[in-house]
Amino acid sequence: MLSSHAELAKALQSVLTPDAVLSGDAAERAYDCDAYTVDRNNPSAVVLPRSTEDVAKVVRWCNKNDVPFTARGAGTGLSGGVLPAMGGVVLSTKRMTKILEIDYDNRCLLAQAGIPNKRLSDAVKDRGLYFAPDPSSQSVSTIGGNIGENAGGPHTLKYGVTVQHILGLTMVDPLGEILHLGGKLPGAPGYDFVGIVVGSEGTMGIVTEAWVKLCPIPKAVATALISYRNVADACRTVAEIIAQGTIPAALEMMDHGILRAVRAAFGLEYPEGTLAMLLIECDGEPDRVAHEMESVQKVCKKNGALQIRLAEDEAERAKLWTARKKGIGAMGRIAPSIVTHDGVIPRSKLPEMLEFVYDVSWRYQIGVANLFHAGDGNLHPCFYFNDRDPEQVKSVVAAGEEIIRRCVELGGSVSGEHGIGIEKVDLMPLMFTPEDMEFQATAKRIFNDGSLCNPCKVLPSQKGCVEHRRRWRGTAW
Amino acid sequence: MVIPETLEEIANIVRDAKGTVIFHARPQPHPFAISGPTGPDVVAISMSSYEGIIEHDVADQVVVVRAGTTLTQLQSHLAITGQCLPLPRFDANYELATATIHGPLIDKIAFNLPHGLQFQCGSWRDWIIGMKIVRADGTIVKCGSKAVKNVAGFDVQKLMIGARNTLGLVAEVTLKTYPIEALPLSEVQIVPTMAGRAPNFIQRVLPTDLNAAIRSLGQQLIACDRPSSTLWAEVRPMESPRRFNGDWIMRAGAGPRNLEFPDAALVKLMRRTKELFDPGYKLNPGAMGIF
Repeated sequence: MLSSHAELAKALQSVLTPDAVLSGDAAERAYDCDAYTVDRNNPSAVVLPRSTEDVAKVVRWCNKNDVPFTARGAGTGLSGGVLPAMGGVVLSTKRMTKILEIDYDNRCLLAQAGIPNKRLSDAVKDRGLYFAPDPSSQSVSTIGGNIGENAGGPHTLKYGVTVQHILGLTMVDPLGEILHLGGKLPGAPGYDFVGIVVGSEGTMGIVTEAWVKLCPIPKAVATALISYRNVADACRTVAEIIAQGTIPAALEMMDHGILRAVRAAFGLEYPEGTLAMLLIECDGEPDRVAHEMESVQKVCKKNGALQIRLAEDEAERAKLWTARKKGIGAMGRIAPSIVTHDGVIPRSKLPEMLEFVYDVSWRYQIGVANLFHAGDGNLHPCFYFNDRDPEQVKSVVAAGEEIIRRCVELGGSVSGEHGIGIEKVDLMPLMFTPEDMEFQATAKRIFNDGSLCNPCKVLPSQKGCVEHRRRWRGTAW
Repeated sequence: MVIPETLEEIANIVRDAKGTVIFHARPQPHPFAISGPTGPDVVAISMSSYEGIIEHDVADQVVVVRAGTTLTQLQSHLAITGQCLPLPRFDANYELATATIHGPLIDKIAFNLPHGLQFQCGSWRDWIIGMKIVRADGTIVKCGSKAVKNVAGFDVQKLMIGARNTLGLVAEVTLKTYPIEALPLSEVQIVPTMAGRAPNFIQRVLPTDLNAAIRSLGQQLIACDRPSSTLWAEVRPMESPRRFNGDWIMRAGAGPRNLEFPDAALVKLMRRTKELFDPGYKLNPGAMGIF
């Protein structure tokens, strides 16, 4: 084991190049957490590889020197997935942002893992194509990170999550071997390794390149913003729309807390007395879109909509989406710190669950706002607080756990799209028995599981993590 | 042949088996199967009695079902509430396009054959949100949940789809259902003179190779699904139709050639997976052709 961080950084400089290694206090602090800021831990050094081979070299070096390593994209993750839990090396994909090949005819594209999600769509827009998964962080979050977390987004209701759009992968396994999984065509016989790697939170290796599916940009899009007097009416609308056979491209809900913030930030107006809003989008062939929107509006009216506002043009549509996608950001106006939770429940349990969230917020005396993917039953209660007040931080963590427990009790899951990371690693036993988790651990071992590749994530009670955890758990208080 | 009726019975049989365990989902083996070992040590389990719908949450469009249930049974149950699995309708022509439309779910999931709405509505990998599996040592484990979107833990159920029960026995599945009202029309085209023929060759090629592949199969072509660039054909067992860059094929009736894995690195990874999940090579050992 190398004794000091400086020594380790120096050794890594000779593995790659001097300019590919960051070290020192500032670097360590910049890479000590992702957007889940409650837990933090410093890495010993940060490397910036340019290629799959660079990544493989670093991983092999880490193995030889028994140094833990963690891959990182843009650091927008919300569950601490890139927190260097045992220190060691952070491999940032910041310099791996190339599009390597575009196959327009076969509608797929090969890119390096560090490219921001939205740049994929930008690159093929002129040819009428786009990359469908659109997490709210898409202007910065990388395709590698999206693969790690199996990221969702507002349009997953109709188009699926990241895994449905990844055809093939190049990855460096935990021992430094380069693997090619899948290809340009889905459904090939044999074990579905792409399916298990996507969403494995960087614990089965480091994805360096991916073949992604490109979809044709829908010919027509209609977007509506609907105001309601209460969340119950909005929830009922969601259930009825889906039950009648319409599958909108997006079906998003915002409650009063979010609306206040976006009104202040983006000037989004809504009628007096509005306590909930739905953003509904239908896309596809023009005729079908018109028909779907019509039936959606009928359901909205029937369930007591105060106002239905249809986007007149692309500019207005963009504005409506800004409110939704930057809603969490707008919360920054209300409080210095935000923790966004991510629980999921069967859709029909939404009204009951929201009531529970408000009750928890009241009991712990922390503010809560909700904006979430109602169509999927994917809740995002967003607590706002001051992370310099230790009492508030403790309340936020406890309130979050109560909410997640309730999600599981209602037949849902501890995470819909943000991942387990370290944030929820202790909550895994709520959903899974030790046998279930051993089954998952078996899958992890397929890829030469060592204990160095992104340790302490997803599965609880990994070797050495309990002692390490004392160092980073709740360092914010 | 043993015909267990409960999950515990299945688990006990698997746990106590001294030799090989093979799963018979239907009276005859699946046409695309590679025939497995026979002999006194072989325990053959029929899943035909482990059937029925456990739970159907109509509002949430989620159904939990035992793997011995036939697709026909499941579709009829779902249809009562206007729901379905988005597989093409029970049309005689479509039967050939999906090869075994009437078989039980365990077969469909184990073989994961292409179908005529795959491009539009996805496949088992997209519909299965939870699973109960009997492991090689008889342990019963579960994956996923009843939530339609879930990233808790590793998605091990995806490994089981298309794995022909070589890594574990898929005993129960939780599925997302689809509103019949929203079902698109399948674009599968059937060659009129070949209607009703059973395909023994499935090929998926890149869209840019589709026309060449159609020409190459010629008179042997039964059906074509342009959106997913998939072809179904009836070829003579010893014949090897033209292959295309990046394509894949599955065959029936060609013995060990039913499945071919030309990529040595992939085979190595598959072997490693098999050894981890089934160290004694107990479960359906011949089914993937490579172990």
